[in-house]
Amino acid sequence: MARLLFLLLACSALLGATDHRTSGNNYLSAQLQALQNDTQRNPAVLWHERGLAMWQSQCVQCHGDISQLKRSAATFPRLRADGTTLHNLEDQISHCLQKPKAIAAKAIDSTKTEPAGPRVNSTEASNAESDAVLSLSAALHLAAKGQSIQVGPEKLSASEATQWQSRLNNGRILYEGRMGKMNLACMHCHDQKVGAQMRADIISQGHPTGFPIYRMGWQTMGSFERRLRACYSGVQSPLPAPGNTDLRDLELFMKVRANGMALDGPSIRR
Amino acid sequence: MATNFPMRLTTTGAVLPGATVQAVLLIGHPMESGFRNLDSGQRVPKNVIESIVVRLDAVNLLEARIGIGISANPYFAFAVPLPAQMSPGGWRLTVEWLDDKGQRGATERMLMV
Repeated sequence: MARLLFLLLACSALLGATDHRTSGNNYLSAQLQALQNDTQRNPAVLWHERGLAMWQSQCVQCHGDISQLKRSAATFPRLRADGTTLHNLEDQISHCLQKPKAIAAKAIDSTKTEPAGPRVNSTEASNAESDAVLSLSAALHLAAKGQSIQVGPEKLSASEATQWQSRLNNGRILYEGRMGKMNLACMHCHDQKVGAQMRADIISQGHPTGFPIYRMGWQTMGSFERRLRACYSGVQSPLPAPGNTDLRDLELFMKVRANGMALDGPSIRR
Repeated sequence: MATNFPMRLTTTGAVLPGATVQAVLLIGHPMESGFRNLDSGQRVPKNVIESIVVRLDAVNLLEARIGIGISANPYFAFAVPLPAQMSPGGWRLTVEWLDDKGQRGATERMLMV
């Protein structure tokens, strides 16, 4: 009996000691969690379904079934081929969609009333925040649901690893540095005020596990980058342009900070 | 163009003659009110769905005239009363919408016993 008790205590101590990190989904109101779990009502499903249809018409020839790429979403951002800057999943999707092969592929959906054409025009493909890119991102993230985030320099060459580390360091500086008229750093809220009320919102730990998100305030789907830019706006700092390297570095730092956590997107936000 | 407006029509409840099932309709549409500005200051032109028609076979079940008061990606839930007579091939529930730019969308769902 005593041995069993000891074992239980040891287990709970071990679990308690391991991880206090938790997904942003746990900070949602009960109503929004209910909406998220109801596939009949959840608007993010519209993007997810479109993403799956696009996958079947444009991606499946090269990449095979989407389940084969289930680790993909968990391993971005990665270093670009140039070895100096980073790209995230949305950048990669956009890059892929701009290949002539993807543009030429026709949509399979000929059962609908309108004639099926190429679903993605070049404007949509080149915009990492377009519905087309976000749809594929949503589908890939859903395929990766439950996969643990694993972002690291392991597969890189020595010089690339140095670059990767300097990007990570820059991300940390951004995360910990004060900015904007509010003179706040990310960590002041997302490390030091977790659980506190900010206007009508509860401050989360800021882990990027649940992206892309359908944010009620936006009335549409948005990427992690868009969420970061909204934070810049929240502290009244000049907005970095979409695709800015600072945003990628910050994303890298936050993904590394969330290493080992399970992906649980796409999700709903207030 | 309409392929870029995803739609989702689902039902819950047993499909039986004389029964009533609950239908849920989601339409992926921006529903721009025409009052919103971009960061650049440029006005976003109005673009809203104006009418939605739901039919059960040939019978008009529901006609909605909607406008700028409805938010993006509209969600509708409505009851679908099924006829008392058995239909061997099931019943065809269809939805069509039309917006102020003349863009259309349609989807359908067979309700099988």
